[in-house]
Amino acid sequence: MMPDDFSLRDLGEPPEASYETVRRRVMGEIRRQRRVRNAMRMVAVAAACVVLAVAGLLALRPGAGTVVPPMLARAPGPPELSPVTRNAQSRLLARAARSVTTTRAATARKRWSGGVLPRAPAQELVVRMQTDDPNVVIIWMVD
Amino acid sequence: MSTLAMEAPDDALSRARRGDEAAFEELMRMHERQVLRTALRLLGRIEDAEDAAQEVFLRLYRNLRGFQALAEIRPWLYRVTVNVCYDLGRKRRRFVAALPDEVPVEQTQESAVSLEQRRGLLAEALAYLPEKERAAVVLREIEGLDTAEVAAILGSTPVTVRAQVSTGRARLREIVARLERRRG
Repeated sequence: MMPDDFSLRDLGEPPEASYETVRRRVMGEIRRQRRVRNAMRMVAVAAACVVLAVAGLLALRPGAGTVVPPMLARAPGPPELSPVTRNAQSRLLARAARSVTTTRAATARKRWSGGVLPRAPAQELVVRMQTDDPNVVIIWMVD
Repeated sequence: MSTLAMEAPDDALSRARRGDEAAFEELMRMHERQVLRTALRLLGRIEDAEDAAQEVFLRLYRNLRGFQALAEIRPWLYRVTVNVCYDLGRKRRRFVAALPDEVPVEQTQESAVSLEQRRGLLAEALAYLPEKERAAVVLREIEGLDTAEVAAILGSTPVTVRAQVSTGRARLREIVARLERRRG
């Protein structure tokens, strides 16, 4: 026999009962899913109500209405320097200023005298480093 | 009158999209023959076809919002039916059966096969076709879709579909002959 002997469309239809079975199963599954979805929705609503109720109870608790002043953080000021340190600092600043003045003067003299200049007397270079501890100051003095 | 007849199904679609269960059942009735018949031809067993049809209609229910008109549903259902049947067939390892053994022709020359038996043989023979060929033969030869439609459903080209249908028919002829000789 060849398939061409009759049309493949004549293979026949599925039994009528199968359509009913499929319909019943599909609608049953849809209703089941809808029930589950509704139940989950109700659980979510109930949970939201419980949360709101607890929040309301906490708000109505005695003392719950008192206003708590906001906390302010104050940044620490600069460390207090001892008189000795302060004097050393002033001396160091004065020396640094002198050093700058001297360098400028030397440059000017060099420019106007055609580059032949007596060598300027050596100046002291001071580097001062402050640490976290206000009582510890690192001072480098270079001749 | 014809306008009303055209509007009613689309109305069922819009009602189903709004969650009307009766309207969805109406949509199912409109397409159940197409889905169950295709699934039965692809899977070969009515129990498997029912499972596949159930899955197809549940997917339709979940995707109802994606349809604007009823005409969009039919090709979508074919595509999903074929895919669901592929999955189900592979899962249950029933999609492609082993070819029946060759039997010498002279042993069964005299056997007479009734039309009903021939239909049974042909239905059985479909199970021996490779899945793509079977889908092409079922959609083109049994469902009567045109080649372009089949190509769109299978994600293929019309040339490929034509080749698959031609090869499928030749194979069917051979398989039916083998089955006949074996039973003869």
